[in-house]
Amino acid sequence: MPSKRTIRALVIAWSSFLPAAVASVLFFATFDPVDLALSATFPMEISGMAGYALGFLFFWLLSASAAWMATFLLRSDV
Amino acid sequence: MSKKKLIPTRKAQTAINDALYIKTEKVYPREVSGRFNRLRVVAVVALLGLYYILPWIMWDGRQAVLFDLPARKFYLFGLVLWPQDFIYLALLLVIAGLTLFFFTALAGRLWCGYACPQTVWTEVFLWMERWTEGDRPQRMKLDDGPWTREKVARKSAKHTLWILFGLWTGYTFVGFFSPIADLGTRVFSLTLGPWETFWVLFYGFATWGNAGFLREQVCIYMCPYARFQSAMFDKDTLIIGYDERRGEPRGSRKRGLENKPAELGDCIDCTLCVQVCPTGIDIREGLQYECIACAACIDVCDEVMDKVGYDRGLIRYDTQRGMKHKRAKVLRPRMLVYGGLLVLLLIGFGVSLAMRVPVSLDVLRDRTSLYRVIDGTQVENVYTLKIANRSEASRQFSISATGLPGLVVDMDDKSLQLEGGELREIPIRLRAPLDELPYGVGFAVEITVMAEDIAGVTATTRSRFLAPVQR
Repeated sequence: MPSKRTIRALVIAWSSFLPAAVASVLFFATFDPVDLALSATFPMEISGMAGYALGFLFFWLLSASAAWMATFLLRSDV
Repeated sequence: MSKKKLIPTRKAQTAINDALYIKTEKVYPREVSGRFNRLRVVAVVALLGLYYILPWIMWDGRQAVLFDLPARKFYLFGLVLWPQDFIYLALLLVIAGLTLFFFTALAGRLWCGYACPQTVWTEVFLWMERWTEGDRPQRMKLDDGPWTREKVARKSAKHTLWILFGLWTGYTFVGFFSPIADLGTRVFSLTLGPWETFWVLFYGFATWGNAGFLREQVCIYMCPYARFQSAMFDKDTLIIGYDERRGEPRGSRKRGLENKPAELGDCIDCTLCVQVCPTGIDIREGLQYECIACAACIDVCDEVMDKVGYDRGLIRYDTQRGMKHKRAKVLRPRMLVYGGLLVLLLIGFGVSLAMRVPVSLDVLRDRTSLYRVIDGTQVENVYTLKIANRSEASRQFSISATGLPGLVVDMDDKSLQLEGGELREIPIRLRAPLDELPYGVGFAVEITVMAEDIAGVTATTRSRFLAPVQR
């Protein structure tokens, strides 16, 4: 059986996966990653597929960090 | 949970906290047959059939269902959807959610028992497990026993089947996003792109892990719906329940007794209902949130009741009210609200899809210049039009503008032939005679794009037309 730490990591990863998926759909339905890269403030060259993948990973990381923060603040073993 | 509920729900509260950190025992569901199992097999064949066959169906020389992400187009049989059609996807999701609510309120976790991908794929993986490792007692014996040659052979056969099926599932999944026939040839010539390879393996691995190993744990620990579905339940919701008043006190009895012993209820305590349960619970302890409403316990208990000569339905689909032998109400405010919303949304969805115009027009005013006066008589404004031919046919379009006296459209490229699915940006100039302009500096104009070869395919967008102040 995995440790509490592993379980916490798994819960964070899974619970942030779903909102990240929803956010990606909403975001990329509105913006084309190729166009976005063109209007970046620094030189950026990116293909469509890479744009979607990176976008999703970014959203996942973002919601995972929020989930991690939430579990961190709710910790009962301090 | 209130005490008034006849079907106890006590386990639902304690189980999560305790179970999350204790080792769960492996569940070996016993094979079951009966009417509800037949229903599930039908659902499995229909849903998985749809999943595996759909990408292979062709439509007008292309894949009928294809979500082309790089081109930002979704093909659904005769329909091509663009990012601008996102509203349909959003509506569809809301409709799906409401449908889930409606059926949950009506008959409990129908979704979980018959239609959820987790259930459907687990069922197929269980079949493969039965072919290779045998029935429940055989599987338990095999797992307990030493690693003999037979065990190695049976286990490797099982995993070979599982992995092949998982890979095929992953390949099909990617086939919804990348043309599947072409994908197939690239699999065999080993020229699959990195993202395609990743998703085939990822989805295949997820299938193998979820349907082969995690199984009921996905429902218990990972599924959000399993946790909140009870909010849609009331006393008139169909659930799977054990008739405690009829069954208790439970106990085994001698075979072939003409009359049942007076001190015993109808439950002969054969524990078959526990053995068939895919989530490993005892339905006789009452409704528990682990129960995915697969009705395997109903099927097996009916069979037992037939054998011992008692009435069927000791475990049955019933409402909490029905368990008390009262009449259940199907039409209740909850059902009317869910049902009413659902019907409204479905009508709205159908109407808007039917009225969808396969051309779209966006107008951007040129921001660098407000206006230009030509020869002291004409005022000119410059715009960029974004026209999307949202149909699949190549079409000829014309552009017109209204809103000011003597307004004319001037553009370099007179022929506006757009291929199916093409998006084009076109600079245009609108000109109006200066002396005919009404008083003011800014006027509303309407720009219209219209297909020339078909009626009704037209889109109109408003914009501003600026002019110098006049005296």
